[in-house]
Order: sequence, then C-alpha cells, then structure tokens
Amino acid sequence: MTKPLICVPGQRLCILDKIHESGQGTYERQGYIYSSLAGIVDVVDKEGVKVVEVRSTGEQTLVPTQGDIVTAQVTILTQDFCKCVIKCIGNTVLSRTYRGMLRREDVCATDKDHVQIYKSYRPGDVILARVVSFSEFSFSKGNALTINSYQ
Amino acid sequence: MEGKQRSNVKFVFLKCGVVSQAKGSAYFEVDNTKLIVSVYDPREIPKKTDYSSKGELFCIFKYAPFSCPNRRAHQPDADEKQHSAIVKRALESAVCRHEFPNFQVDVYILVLENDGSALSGAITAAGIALAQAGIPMYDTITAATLAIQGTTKLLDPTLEEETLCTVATHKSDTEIDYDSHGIIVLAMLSTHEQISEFYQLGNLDLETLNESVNILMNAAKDIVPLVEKCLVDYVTKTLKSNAES
Repeated sequence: MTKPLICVPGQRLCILDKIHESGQGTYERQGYIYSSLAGIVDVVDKEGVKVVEVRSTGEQTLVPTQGDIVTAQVTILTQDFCKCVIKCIGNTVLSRTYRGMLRREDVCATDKDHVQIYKSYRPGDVILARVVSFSEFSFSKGNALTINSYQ
Repeated sequence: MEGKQRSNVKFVFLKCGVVSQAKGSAYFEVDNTKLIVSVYDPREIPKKTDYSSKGELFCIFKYAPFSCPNRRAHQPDADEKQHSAIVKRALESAVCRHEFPNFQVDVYILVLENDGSALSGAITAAGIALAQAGIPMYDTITAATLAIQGTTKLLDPTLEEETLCTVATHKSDTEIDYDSHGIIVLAMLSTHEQISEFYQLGNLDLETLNESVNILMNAAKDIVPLVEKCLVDYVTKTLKSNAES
C-alpha cells in the first residue's frame, strides 16, 4: 500500500476540471479543490471521473441530512407520530444521538390513511428509516427531523 | 521601552487531543499564557423552533478564577462575553457552517494563566480543536496580537505590555495630541489570505495601522506551519492506532 496522503483544512488538493470532482470533505473555490478536513486524501474512480475525497482518521463528525438511512429507536408513541432517537447514520454509530420524528403519513408508502401508529410500532423498537426533511414547522419540544420508515 | 520593536513570533507550544471527553481539543502556550480549548460534537439546539440553513457556533471564553493577577469571578463578566463574541465571529468564517444546518457546535475556551495575547491564542487553538473534531473548515485559522505605544510595536505582548499599551500618553510635554496606542488582534485564514477578524482597542493613526496589519499578517502566517504540523501529527497518530486495532 502506498503511503497515505495527509492533508489539513484549507490545503489545495488539485485543479477542478472535467475529470476531477470534489467529493466528501472537500470544497471547490476558484477552480481548485481544497480540503476541509484533517485526514487522508482518497481518490475514487467513478466512471472515468476522479472524485477527490478526504476522510478524517479519527471519529467522524456526522449530522443527519436529507436522504440518509438511519437506525433509530422508538421512544414515544402518539396518534399522529412517534418520536425516536437516531443512533446510527448509515454504517457509522453516533457518539451523540439525535432526535427524530416519524409521522403517520410517512410510515407506509401505500394506504397512508389506514396506518395506525400503535399497530406499527412499540416503544423500544429499533427501526431503519430515511431522513425525509428537516422539519420547518415548530414542535412542542423544539425542532426534530422527519423520517420515513424504510423496509 | 521607547521605540522598541518586536515583530518575530515568540516560541509557541501547541498540542491537540488533550481533553479526552471532548471530540477535539487543543492546548496553547505562549510565554506564560496557557489555555485549553475543547470542541464538542454538533448537537441539536435546545428550545429552537425555526429552521436555519447554517449551523451555529457556541463559544465560551472563560478566564479561570486563578488565571489573572486579580481573582476572576465564576460568572462571565463583560470582558469575557466580548471575547466570546470575538472568537465566535473569527471562527464563523472559517467553519463550513452549511454542512451542519440547524445544529450547534460548542467551543469552550479556558484560560489557565493569562499573560497577554490570550485572545489570539484562543482563536488559533480553537482552529486546531475544530479541525481535530472533524468539523469541516474552509481553512486553518491563526491569530496574532500586536500592542502599540507610540513608535513601539510589540508582537504577542505580555500582560504588562498590554496594560502599558492601553494607556494614552501625550506625544510630548507640550502637545495635547495623544500618541498612537492600542492593541490589535487579527485572525487570518492563511491559504486564502483572508482576514476573518480584526479587533482594535485604543487610538491608532492610519500609517501605524497599515504597518501593524502587515506585521500581524506575517505573524499569523508564521504560526501556520506549527498548526499544520500539530494536525499532521494527530492524523499520523490516529492512522497508526487504526492500523494496530
């Protein structure tokens, strides 16, 4: 294995052109790709395009974003939604959990009107879900993520 | 000390990963000034109901009760609140805040011993701690302090020098005008050569200010290799421990 390329935030990695694309842990500015993390450079070949990525070596810092598949545990049930705590994002176990909310409409893709939260989940269930959006509506206990159950 | 110039960076000691509970941390030492910065994971902002597309930075700058010649109270005083705001402003332009929307990153700065230039040290150390915590950043951030009294310019002043430079003195016994005096703290993003924070205390004329900014920019650039080395060491260390496990 070749010696890993170490980089620090703000380090210019390469030029941004048709065959080089900025991936995770990098950003583009004025035609160049810069690193935004301290870690090792990883170049992934994707259909002829080289995606430049930087992976941090220590514990990763992750926040849930739209479309992420998360593992969550159900905590509270109500008629219209259930609340849960997000424990993993993808394959990464989080050191700090995030709150999430699963609405009745999002439980099932079909037959949305007849879904009953009580019959679908029980407190303590571990579910796999996809983050639908960061809710913009206010919620009695602050902001929560809306997630979609995923089977 | 009339006319004295000191524009080379003093010996600085940097170390990251000093607080085991924190996600990222850094220890900074220049002269007798010692401080610790700890950074914690992004977390949900309590009691927040609206959505913000950019993440928040929550900075607390605290002098330990025993850090100054006079004992400091536990409650943050006006000085500490202002310093917190300055650090926050300096760091905001260095952190990719859009990468953690609606979340908050906590940055705690504790000054263990204050012998001047604590604010600039705090910004530099916070930059390292954030990078170690894996918070995406546009650039490494470094800062420097310059104290000015008349023609005297002192880089990284001690507490005594800082105090002397905040006092207004007349240009001569016959003139009423005050001499240039004051303290400047400047934070810079090195790769992009952007100044992210400029904080000035006192009264300076334009010429002095221009000179000072140049001195400070060079000083901030001089610390960059140290910061980079600190981070590279950290990465190699974690790489090694990852390979072993």
